[in-house]
Amino acid sequence: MILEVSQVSKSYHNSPHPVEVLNGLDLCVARGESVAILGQSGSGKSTLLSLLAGLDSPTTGNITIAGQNLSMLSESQLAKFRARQIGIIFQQFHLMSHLNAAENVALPLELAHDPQANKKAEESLLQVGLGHRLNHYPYQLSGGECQRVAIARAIVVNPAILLADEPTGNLDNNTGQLVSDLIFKLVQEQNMTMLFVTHNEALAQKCQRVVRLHNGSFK
Amino acid sequence: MLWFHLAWKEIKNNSRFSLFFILNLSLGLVGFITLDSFKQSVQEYLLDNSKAILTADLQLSSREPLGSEQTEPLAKLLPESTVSTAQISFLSMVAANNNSRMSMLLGIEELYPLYGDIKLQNSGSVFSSSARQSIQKNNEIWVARDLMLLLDLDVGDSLRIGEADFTIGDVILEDPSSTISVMTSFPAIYMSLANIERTGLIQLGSRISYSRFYRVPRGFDVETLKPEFQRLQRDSSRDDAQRINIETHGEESADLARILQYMNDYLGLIALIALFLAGVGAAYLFRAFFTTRFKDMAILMCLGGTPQQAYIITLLQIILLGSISALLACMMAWILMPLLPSLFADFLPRGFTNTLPPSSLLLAFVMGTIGSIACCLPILAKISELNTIALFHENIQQTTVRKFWQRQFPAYFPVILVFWSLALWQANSFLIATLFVGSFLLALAILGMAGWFMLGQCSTTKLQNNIIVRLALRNLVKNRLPALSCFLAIALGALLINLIPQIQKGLQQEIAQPTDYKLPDFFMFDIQEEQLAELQSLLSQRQQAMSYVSPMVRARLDMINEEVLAELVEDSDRQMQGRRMFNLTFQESLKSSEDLIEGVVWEGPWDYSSENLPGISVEQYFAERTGLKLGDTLTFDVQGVPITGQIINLRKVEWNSFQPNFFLSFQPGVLEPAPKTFIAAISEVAEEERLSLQNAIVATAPNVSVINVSQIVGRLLDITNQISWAIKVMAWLAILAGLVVLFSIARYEVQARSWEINLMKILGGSFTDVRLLVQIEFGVLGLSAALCGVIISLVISWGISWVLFDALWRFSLFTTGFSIVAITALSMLTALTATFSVLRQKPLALLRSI
Repeated sequence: MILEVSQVSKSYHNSPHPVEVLNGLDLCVARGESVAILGQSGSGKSTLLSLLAGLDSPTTGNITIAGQNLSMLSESQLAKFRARQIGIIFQQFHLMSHLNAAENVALPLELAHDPQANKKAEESLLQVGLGHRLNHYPYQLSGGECQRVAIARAIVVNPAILLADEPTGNLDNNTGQLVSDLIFKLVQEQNMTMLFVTHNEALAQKCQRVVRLHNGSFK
Repeated sequence: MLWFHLAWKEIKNNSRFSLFFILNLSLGLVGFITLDSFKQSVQEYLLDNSKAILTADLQLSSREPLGSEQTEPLAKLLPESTVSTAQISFLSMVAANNNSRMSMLLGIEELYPLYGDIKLQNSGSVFSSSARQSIQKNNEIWVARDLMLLLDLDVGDSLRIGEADFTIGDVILEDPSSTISVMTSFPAIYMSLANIERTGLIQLGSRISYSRFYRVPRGFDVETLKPEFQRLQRDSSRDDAQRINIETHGEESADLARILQYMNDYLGLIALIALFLAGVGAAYLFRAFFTTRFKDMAILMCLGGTPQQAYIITLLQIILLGSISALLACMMAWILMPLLPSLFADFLPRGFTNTLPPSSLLLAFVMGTIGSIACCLPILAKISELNTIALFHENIQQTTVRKFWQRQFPAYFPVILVFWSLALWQANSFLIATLFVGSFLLALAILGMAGWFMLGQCSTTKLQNNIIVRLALRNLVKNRLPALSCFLAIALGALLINLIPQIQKGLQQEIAQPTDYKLPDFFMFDIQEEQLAELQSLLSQRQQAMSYVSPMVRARLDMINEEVLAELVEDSDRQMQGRRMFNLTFQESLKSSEDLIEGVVWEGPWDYSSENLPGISVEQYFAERTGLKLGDTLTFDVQGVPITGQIINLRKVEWNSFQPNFFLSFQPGVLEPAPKTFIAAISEVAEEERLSLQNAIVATAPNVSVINVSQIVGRLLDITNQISWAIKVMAWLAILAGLVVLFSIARYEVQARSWEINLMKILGGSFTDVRLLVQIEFGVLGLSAALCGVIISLVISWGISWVLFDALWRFSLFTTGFSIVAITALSMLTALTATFSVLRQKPLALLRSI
């Protein structure tokens, strides 16, 4: 198994009454498997993704990715792990506005001190069909192109797992269709493991397995 | 390299932020750098020219002739190959062609000067010509060019000085020894030692300075020699040993530098305020920039970056921006460099040139980087609260997990520490630096509270019927924190701008027309007792009279409370060091310019048969400085005769009365038999009569020095004007820094509110309406800040005037009114300029930008 989520719960204690967002989740994902996580707003999808990305820690339970229990890692070890093993595609693209497309894609490689960063970034952008947009800045790209840059950035490190957070949520139907097709094509070609968070039933059905999240629990 | 690349790209892509940050910080730094380069240049000049300024390595001087007995102890300490030369100098009136002028007469030997060339009009350098031999052999003198012009003289003319006639052999063009002249400059006349004796002006009681200059072999350290010589003098049984002064070339330069140092230090403190305001602006700009970067930092961390790496990038950016600011500040300082020497022209050594030394450049870079980091530290602290999870949500914002004070308070400590350290470095005094920073923080707190209150009142004002006024005032209430930053920047500038002219006005008025006193027109000193009648007769012929005739007896203080002063100097903290010779007077009662502070005034002359000691009256500040108090006994050596008196009162002296005033005054009946000279004043001389009266006095009593008081007053006013001008330049720099803060804040605030403005336009508001909104908002801000700043400046100037200058406070309606109107108008104009591009955008464009 490339991903093992075992009895993971997450609650917040900021307000006078603790809020339990995730409640005893169990999930196993095999290498090369694509899993869709379906859920409505407020179901806990984003919280689960932040835990899987190692950006937050569960209140109880364990998350193991590629044999590494995330709770055993320090802050800096987590950062290095993220740079090498996890690719994230956000709904809002989240590109660095002051870096051009190639620099944005090369950034995680450079953080991992990869000497081939620029070459790999160019190849990755070619894969997503943006070989002609290498030196364009995010504000010079359309929404679909921005998301393709974000996809290239996520896959460039050849991650153990790809986390996609409603990657078409910010795009129109046609562009969304093109982008989702691209993601599934790349995942298939590279035999990548993917967790695809969405509330779109049709998109979820493109994955090999669908799990539904409702009020912090898998149904 | 990656971090540098990321930091640089971000700065480059936020060019407007970078530009304003750099401009803002460089404006704050420029005053500091200009002053530092000036200070360094003065120090370097004096260090390089110290021997030329003293004309020697070492100088021995005394009010009494220096014979071999006096110079022998030093000669024994010096190497054999030491060269020495004697000089006699004193001030004297010189008259010619119906004009007269106080001049410095210098009798020299052939070897003078040992260092520092004198440039003469005809002979050129005295080192490479025979001019020095010629002046020794002939009846020849060299006269300073200023005096030649004033007395309408030419080379070859005859000039009578005292009782002898001389021929002008040459004109002095450059004299390195006449360097800094603050109050008055006395043109020099050089002659041989034999000729200076011939003038007949060296009389008993005359203030003559006898010097011997020494040039030691290269490598011999004269500084180590001084303590040994002083020890020998203390141990000497010779009566005159204590009256011989020794000075090295380094000390002479230090003395000359001191006055410039004082002025520079205080100007530096004003520059520090400009730097502080620039720091506020930089911090605000950085906060705005930093808020937009939160998302980028969150992305970086999602991609494998750590908070430490985010800190590194941010710190690199601050260092980069600080360095560029420093570079720009150095360039601006280089342009401004000629300004300071012209402002201080009268205080500067001749031949001085201002340069930008490497140490000033280094200072600029250190301050640019460390100062920027210190200013941005409270904002940097927010990185620790970065919430990467928010990337999965719509908006990226920092969370406030910890309470405000817990997060921010420790981050402000380094800011205060850096500010205090800079003040300490600038003022060279722990007390002044602490007082300055303390007062500054207090003023800031008072202004902050006043600003908070005034901004709070905006929501309750009755002028809210008009929608534009209502919106403008509510904007101020809603955005109270940025509004308060603007308020503080403007108010501090207003405080500075108004404070300086307020104090200057009172001071100048008191100098020119002191309350309760009529300024005399002339001061005469060195009047011999037998000349009094002669002068009185001369004056009565011209319907004039001498007033405030005061005897002056030169005496050496030997003991305080029967303890020998030489021992006291070593053991006590009394500030009597280096000051043993005093001018004493005696008077029957207190003068109109004196007030009794403590003790009693003597009644009549001292009774020789009385058991009590003669009474001594001491000026209160002198008593404070030297630690003297009522009941202390002082023993003076008056021409070898010991005279002991007891302090029976302390008095306050109105020094600006321009009457002959003394620190130490004896009861009559003691000093009358002592050799003495007199000081006197002449008042109410018509302006057209002054020159002829001065010439007549010089003709009757050539040894008497005549000071034209109106010239001195004019000079004092010039000096206060010069100092005030220099301070005002720094204060305007502070205002400029404040306006840049306002510009930055206004621009950022209006951009942040662009959707509000857009909505207003969509709902039917015109460009005039939105412009009016900004005008009212920043007009109210500017007016309230200017009012607060000006009111506090009036209170401070009143306080300073009472404490330091004994109530010289004068209210200047014009300055106050002008400050308020000008600052309000400038605030409105700055805000409009900053926001114009946003305001004039079409609603559609603004809609797209959302």
